[in-house]
Amino acid sequence: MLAATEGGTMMLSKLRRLPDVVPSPTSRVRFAVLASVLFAAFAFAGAAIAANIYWASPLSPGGYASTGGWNNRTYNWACRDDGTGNTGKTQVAFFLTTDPPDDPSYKSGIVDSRCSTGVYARLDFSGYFKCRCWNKGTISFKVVCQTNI
Amino acid sequence: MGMRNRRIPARVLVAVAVCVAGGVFGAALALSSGAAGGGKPVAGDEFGVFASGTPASVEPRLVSLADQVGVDTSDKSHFRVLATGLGQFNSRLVAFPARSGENVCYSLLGASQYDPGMSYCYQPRGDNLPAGLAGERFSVVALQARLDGVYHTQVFGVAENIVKSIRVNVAGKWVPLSIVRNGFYLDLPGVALEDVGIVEATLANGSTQVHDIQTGE
Repeated sequence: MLAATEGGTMMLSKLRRLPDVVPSPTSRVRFAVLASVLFAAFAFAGAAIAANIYWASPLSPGGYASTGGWNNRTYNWACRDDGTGNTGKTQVAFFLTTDPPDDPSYKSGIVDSRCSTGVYARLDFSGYFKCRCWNKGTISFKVVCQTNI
Repeated sequence: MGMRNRRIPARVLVAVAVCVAGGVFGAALALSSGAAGGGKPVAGDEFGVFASGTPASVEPRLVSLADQVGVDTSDKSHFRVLATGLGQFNSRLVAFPARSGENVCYSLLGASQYDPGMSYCYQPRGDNLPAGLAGERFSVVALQARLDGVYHTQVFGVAENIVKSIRVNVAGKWVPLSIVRNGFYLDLPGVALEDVGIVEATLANGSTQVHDIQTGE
């Protein structure tokens, strides 16, 4: 009963103050901007959680990108994704913690890839791995590389 | 102290809704990335196993792959196991169409989730393919594993109905492969990836097509 009474008092208090909290046009704009920023931020976070893309930038021929370190992973994939509509050669690998820097325990052969048409290679097994992906083409292009963690 | 019956301000509710919507939108966008089409549906016409083979359920390990490459309901009904008990990892070779049959995906999965495995999805009739890949009636990839300091390579892929035989050049010697249910596989214990070279397919009309494992085309 006490709680209900307190709540009722609060409600009355708020109703009395209602004219003060009706948003002005300026505050509506500020709120819309804030909402947009929040939406974008959480959209980015949602994408990151679902995708865990560890590289999505141009790589030179022979260049590679790696995850920051080792983690329990179940896949690692790569594909060309630079909006040209062209394919590009890529390769993916898993490193164990004991592997030399340039000799992964597991690696795919070189394959043609194109993210926009769902053409890519993916290592599909579990372990405590560091991931790497390469541009194995002859020109620079954007490579997208993704793992689950 | 009793509980206060406080109302959550509408602004907070809207903000939370915006955040949740943003997160869901972002996740959906990420999962559906690369959903554009571009090739001709060929899976059902050129691969007999998809048309008449025994349906199988999508492997749990491949659910995320299927989602990513745009496997629709029809594609899921064409998931096939091409071979089992392969090589030293007792692997199985599976295949399924994606993007309503425009793409073909195939996966080599070890007996356990810790055995080396790999998937490759390609577009048999895709636009803008490199000259070395355009018109190829088969697809082949290789996966190398180094176990106790020794390299092992597995070569595997899929071939359209028109392909009658496949052989692989390993360290200068040709090794013939059997095509079963549109799939083929070769286990090469003690062989490094760099020793695997040309894969040659002979078509029904007697012509040959080649694919170099070292260059990817």
